[in-house]
Amino acid sequence: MMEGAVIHTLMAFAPEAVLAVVALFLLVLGAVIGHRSAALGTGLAVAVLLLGAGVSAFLLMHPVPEGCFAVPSGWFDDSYCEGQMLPGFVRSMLVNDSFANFSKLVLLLGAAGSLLVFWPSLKRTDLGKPEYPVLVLLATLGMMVMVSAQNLLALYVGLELQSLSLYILVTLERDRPTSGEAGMKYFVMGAVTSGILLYGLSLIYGAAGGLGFADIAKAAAAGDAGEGFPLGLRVGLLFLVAGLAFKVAAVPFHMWVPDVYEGAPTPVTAFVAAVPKVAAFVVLVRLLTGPFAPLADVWGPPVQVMAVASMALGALAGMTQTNLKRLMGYSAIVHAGVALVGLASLPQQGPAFGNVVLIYVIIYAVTVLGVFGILAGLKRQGRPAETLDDLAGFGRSHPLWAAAFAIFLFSLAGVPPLAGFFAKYVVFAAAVEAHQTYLAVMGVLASLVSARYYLRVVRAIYFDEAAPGATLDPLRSVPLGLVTALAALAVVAFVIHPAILIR
Amino acid sequence: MSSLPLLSLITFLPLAGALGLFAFVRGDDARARRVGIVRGLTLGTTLLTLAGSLALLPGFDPAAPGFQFVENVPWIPRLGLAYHRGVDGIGLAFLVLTAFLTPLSVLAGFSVKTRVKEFMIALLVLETLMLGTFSTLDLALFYVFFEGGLIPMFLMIGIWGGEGRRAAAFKFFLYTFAGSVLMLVAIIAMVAHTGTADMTQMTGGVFAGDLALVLWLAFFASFAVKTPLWPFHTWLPYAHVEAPTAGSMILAGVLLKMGGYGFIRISLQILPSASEVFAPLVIGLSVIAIIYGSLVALAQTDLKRLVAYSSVAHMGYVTLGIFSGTAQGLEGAMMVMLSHGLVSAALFACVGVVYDRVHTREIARFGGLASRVPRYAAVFMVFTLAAVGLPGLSGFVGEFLSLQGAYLYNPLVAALASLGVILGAVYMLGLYRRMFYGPLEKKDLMTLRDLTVREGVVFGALAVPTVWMGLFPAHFLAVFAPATDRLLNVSQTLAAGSIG
Repeated sequence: MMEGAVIHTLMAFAPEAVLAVVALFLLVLGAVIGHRSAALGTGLAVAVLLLGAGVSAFLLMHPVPEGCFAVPSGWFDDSYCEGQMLPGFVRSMLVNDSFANFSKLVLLLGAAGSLLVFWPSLKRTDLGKPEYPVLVLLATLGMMVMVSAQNLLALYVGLELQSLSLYILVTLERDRPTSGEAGMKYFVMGAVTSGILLYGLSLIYGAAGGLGFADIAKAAAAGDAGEGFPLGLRVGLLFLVAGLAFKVAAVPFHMWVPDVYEGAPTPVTAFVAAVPKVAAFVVLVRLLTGPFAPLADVWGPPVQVMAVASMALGALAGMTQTNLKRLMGYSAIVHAGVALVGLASLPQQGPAFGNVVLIYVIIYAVTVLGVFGILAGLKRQGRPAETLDDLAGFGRSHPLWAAAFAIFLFSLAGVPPLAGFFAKYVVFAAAVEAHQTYLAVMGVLASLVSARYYLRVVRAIYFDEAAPGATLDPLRSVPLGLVTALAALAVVAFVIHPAILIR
Repeated sequence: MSSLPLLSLITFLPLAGALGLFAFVRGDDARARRVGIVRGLTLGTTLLTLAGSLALLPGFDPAAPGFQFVENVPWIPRLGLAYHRGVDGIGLAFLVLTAFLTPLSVLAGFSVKTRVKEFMIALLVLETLMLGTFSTLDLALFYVFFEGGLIPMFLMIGIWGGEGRRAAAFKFFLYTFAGSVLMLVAIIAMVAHTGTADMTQMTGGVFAGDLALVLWLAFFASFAVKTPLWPFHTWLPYAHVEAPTAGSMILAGVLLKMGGYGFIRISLQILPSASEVFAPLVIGLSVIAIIYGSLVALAQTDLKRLVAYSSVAHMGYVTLGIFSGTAQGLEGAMMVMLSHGLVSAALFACVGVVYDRVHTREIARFGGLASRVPRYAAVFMVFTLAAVGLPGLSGFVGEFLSLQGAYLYNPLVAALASLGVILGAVYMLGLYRRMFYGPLEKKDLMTLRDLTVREGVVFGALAVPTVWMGLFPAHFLAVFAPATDRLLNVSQTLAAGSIG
C-alpha cells in the first residue's frame, strides 16, 4: 500500500517530477558531450516545459477534488478520487488546486518562452552553455513548488531552489565583469533576505506551533477571536513579507534590480524579469489572503507603503537612465508597486479578487519577455545593443521587430487599447472599490511619469536616425520571432476578448 | 432597423484596411508603383468608410429619443464593461465629420514621401479610434478609443513632423496623457459607484454632491487639455506647427472636437449639477481663450502657429456655448465645432500647399501671391472668410448662436466674447493681406505653382459643406438639434432638482 501511495504522489506532481529528472539528465548529458549539448538540451527543456504546461492546462480544465491526485488511470472519470487520496504528508506540504495549476501553466509557458529567447545566444561561446537550460528548469521547479506550497518549509525549499539557480544564471557570462558583480550583489542581498525570511518563519513557528498553513490559520483565527495575535506571528509575518518583497523588487528591497538587470546576460534578464515575479506574487496572494487574512491590519499598511514608495521611486529614478536594461529595471520597480496596489486592496475585496494581482503580473510578464527577448537578439556591429543610442534607427532597419518593441513599450506605459492598460484598469478598479482611491491616483501619476521614459525609447527607435554605417545587425531567429510575435499578438489582441483572463 | 452591426463595420473598416496594408502590401518608398498602391488602398478604404457613414443618415431618425444603431455585447462582465455602441444626433454629426475629413487628409498626406505605408497605417488606425470615440456608450470603451488615438498621433508628429518634431510629440503625448489618467480614475470610480460603465444608465443624475464635483474636475482635466481650453492649450501650437499637414488637419478637424464632445456627452449629460456649479469657471476661461487666442494669433509670424492660435480662440466659442446652459449656446457650440472642423482643416491644408513648395511658414516670406497663384488665393479667401464668420459661410452660424447663448447667460460675457469676432477679422484679414496683396517681390515665389488637381479636390470638397452650412444651417441643425435640446432639458431639470 505504501508503495502505491508513493507512485500516486509522484504522478500527481508529474510535471514537477519530469522537470527534475530531465534537469538531472541534461546535467549528465552536458558533462558527457560538453558544449554541443546546449542546443539539444535547450530544445528538450522547451519540449518538457511545454508538455508540463499542457498537463497543467488539462488539470485546470478538469479540476481535481481537493486532496485527490490526477492520474492517467482516471482522467476522464469523475470518480477517480475514491480511495486514492494523496498521503497526508504530501497533502500537508503541497496542494494541486486550480490556483496552483493556473500559476504553473503561466510559469511553465514563461520559462519555455525565456528558453526560446535564449536561442540566438546559443552560438555565443561565452553564453551557449549546457548549464543554461538545466538551471532554468531547476528554477522553474522551485517556483512550481512555491506556488503549490501548503507549508512554510516547502515554500522555503522552493524559494531557495529558485534563488540559487537564478544566482548562477546571472553570473553565467563569467568573463564579463558586470555579470560577476551583478551575481555577487544579487547573491549577497538575496542571502540576507533569505535569512530575514527564515527568521520570520522561526518566529511564526514559535507563535503558531507549526509551519503548515493550516496551523497558522488556526492560530490566526484564535487571535482574531479574542486574545489578540501573538507578537511572534505579527513580527514573523512582516519578515516573511519582506523576504517576498525582495523577490518582487519592491522598494525598499529593490537595490539589486537595476544592477542585476544590467549585469546579467540579456536572455537571463528576460527570465529573471518575467517569471519569478509571477511565483512570488502568487505566494503573496496565497499567504496574505489565506492563513494570514485575519492579520490584514498588520500586513496591509506596510504593503500600501511599499506600493507607493515603489511607484514613486521607480518612476522618478528611471527618468535619467540611458541603459535600456537599467531603465527596464526601474520600470520593473514601478510595476511591482502597481501590483502591490492590487494586493493592498485584497482585505476589502476578499480572496476572490486575488487574481487581480495575478492578471497584472501575467500581462506584465508577457510584455517584458517580449522586450528583453528582442533586446537579447539585437546587436550593433557584433556588440549587444543596450543603450538608447544603440536603438537609433531600429525602426528603419527592422520595421517588424521595432513595431513589436514599440507595442510592448506602449503597453508598459498603460496606453489603451493594449493589454497593459487593462492590467492597470483592473488593479486600480480594485483599489477604488477597496476605498483606497489615493493608491489608484498615485498609480496613474506614476504611469504618467514613467510614460515619459517609455516614450524616450520609442523616440530612439523611430524618431532618431542611426549614425551612417552604424545600423543594427540583421536579426533572424525563428524561435525568437515566434515568441515575440506571440507576445505582441497577445498584447494587441487582448482588447478583443479581455474576459478570457479577467473573470 | 437593420440587424447588421453598421457602426462596428464602419468603425473597423479603416482598421481592416490598415491590417491589409500591414500584411499584404510591401511598402517601398523608392518605387512609385508600390507607393501608388498604398495610397490608393488607403484612399479607397477611407472613401468606403465615408460612404458607410453617409449611409447611416437615411436610417437615422433625429426626433427619436435615445441612441440608434445600438450594439450591446458583453465585454468584461466581471467589471461591468460592455461593447456598447450607438449614436444620437450629436455623435452622428461627428462620426460623419470624421469620415469626411479623413479621406481629405489622406489626399493631403500624399505629400509625405518617406515611410508612406507606415504613415497611411497610422492614419487608418487613427480613423478607427476617432470613429469609435464618437459612437461609444460604454465609459471604459470610450476611454480606450479616446486615449488610443495618442499612439498614432504621437508617431505621426514624431516621425513625419518638422524640425522640432521630437519635443512637440512628447508635449502632445504627455499633456494629453496627464489629463486623461485623471479621467481614468474618475471612470473607474463611476463604474465602482454604479456597477456598470453604461453611459445611458448614468444619465439620471446618479452622481450628486461632492462626488459629482470631484468627478467633474477629473473629466475637465482631460477635456480641457484636449479642447484645448486656456490655460491648458500650450501643447497645441507645438503639435500643430510640427505635425505633417495631414496630421494637423486631423488634429484640428477631429481630435480637438473630442474635447467638446466629451464636455457634452459626459460633463453635461452625466454630471449636470456639477456642470452648473462650474459653468462660471469654464465660461470665464472660454472668454479668456477667445480674447487671448486672438491676440496671440495677431502677433504670430509663423503661418501655422497663427492658424493654431485661431483654433484656441474658436474652441473658446465651443466651451462658451456648451456651458451657457442655453439651447442656442449648445447648438452654436455644435455648429462651431463642425464648421471649425472643416475650416481649420482647410486652412492647415492651405499652409501645407505653400510649405510643400517653398518649405517655409514664415508669413513675412510671402507677399503678392494673388497675381501668381489666383486659384490658391481664391481658395484661401473662401476659408479665411469662413473663419472670420462671414454670413453665408459656415463660421457665422455657430458663432452667432454661441454668442446668443452667452448673451442669455450674461450680456457682459457676450460683449467680451464678441471682441473675438472683431479680432478674428483683424488677424485673418491681416494675414491675407500680408500673404496675397502687395507686390510680388520674392524671387522663389515668382515660379510658384498654383493648386494641383489633387489639392483642388481637397479644397473643393471642403468648400461645399462650408457654403452649404452657411446657407442652409437648418439642414445640419436638423440632425443634432433635437438631441441637444433633449439633453439640455433633461440635465436642467435634474440640476434644478438637485439644487432645489
